[in-house]
Amino acid sequence: MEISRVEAQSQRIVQPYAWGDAVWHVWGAGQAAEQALEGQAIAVASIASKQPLVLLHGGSGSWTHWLRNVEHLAKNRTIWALDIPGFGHSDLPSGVSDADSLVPYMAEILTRTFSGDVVDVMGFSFGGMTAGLVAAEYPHLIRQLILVGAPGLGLFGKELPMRGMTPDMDEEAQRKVHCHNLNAMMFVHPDSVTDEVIELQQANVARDRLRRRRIARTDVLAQAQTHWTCPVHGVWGACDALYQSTLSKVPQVLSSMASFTVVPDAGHWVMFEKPDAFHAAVAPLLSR
Amino acid sequence: MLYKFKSKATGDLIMLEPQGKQILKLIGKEPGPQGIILPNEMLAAIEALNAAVQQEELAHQAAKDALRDNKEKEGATLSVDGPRTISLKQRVVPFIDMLRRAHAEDKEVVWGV
Repeated sequence: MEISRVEAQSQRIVQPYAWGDAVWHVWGAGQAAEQALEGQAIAVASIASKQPLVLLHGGSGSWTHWLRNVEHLAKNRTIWALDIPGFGHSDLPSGVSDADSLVPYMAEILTRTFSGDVVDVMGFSFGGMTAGLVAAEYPHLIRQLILVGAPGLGLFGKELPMRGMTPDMDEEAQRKVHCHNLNAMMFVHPDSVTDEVIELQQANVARDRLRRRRIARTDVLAQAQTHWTCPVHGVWGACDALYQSTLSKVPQVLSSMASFTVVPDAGHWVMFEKPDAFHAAVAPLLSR
Repeated sequence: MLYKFKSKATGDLIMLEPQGKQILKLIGKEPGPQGIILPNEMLAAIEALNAAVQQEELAHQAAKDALRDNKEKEGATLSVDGPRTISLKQRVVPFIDMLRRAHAEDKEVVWGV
């Protein structure tokens, strides 16, 4: 399976914090991450020869949201893909229920992992919104931020036709719900939803412990932008279901962005549905 | 108004009016509601943008130096960076890339069509 193959190339780093464990997967670090694994070095990123790039996944996700990107991006960067606290294999700090309350924990994780040095961050959807809030409150931690299909702009129209899961559903019925929801929100092409993607989604949704989050529907990110000090770029899928009739308003609402690129023929989960076009769009942003 | 730059070789690049106008002026294009950049114009456009970036960086450095000199003289605590401004360099990076890729594939870049 693709997840196992890609994960096998990574180094899994579990960092213990007062509130629980944070889990990273790191590609392209070589010796640096091994040292961290042995607990010898906290300043792991500074040893690596390639500049680090932190990847933050979307809601109900994990590092696997970047499954089709980590190998490519690791050619030029050391890729640090985090399971955001409350998702994937990372623990949920008590009292955290949404992106805003995650901010100090994310700042702690970045500070400790990169010894307080600035780092480039790319955040998808919920992870982009969270990163944008971190950049506003802890501007000294982020050198450059790339937002991918981020919410929190106050631009959502009507609710997407998502279906809920009930405990009495059998395996097949659950797969159908995931398939429907992936089509409704994440992709524009129905053939993007393969059995493997449904399995990935099932595994991620089952580990989502922040189910009552709400602020993606507010304009919290638009408000935070006045505090940004680093360059922020936007990359969105042209057919993002969350921005069906409002895509062109994104650069107006997020007027602090340095650039806004739209990847054609791609839905919300743009870097999964059209990885090559996505890589081409972010390449100039990551080249410096 | 927004400027939406399109090319068959790349994704779309969307800019707010002031930034779009600035970039079009820098490459010697009329910043009207519609236009086209032909492949044979692209290398010169990239050069013009790079030159403008360099100029901005020099001006920024000169302002910094001048301020530092003043500070040393007067003990002032002004900062040249002040409130956040996005550098031209940051803004034009994806646009230059768009021109490069369009040029490599011999495709035009258009806007407003």
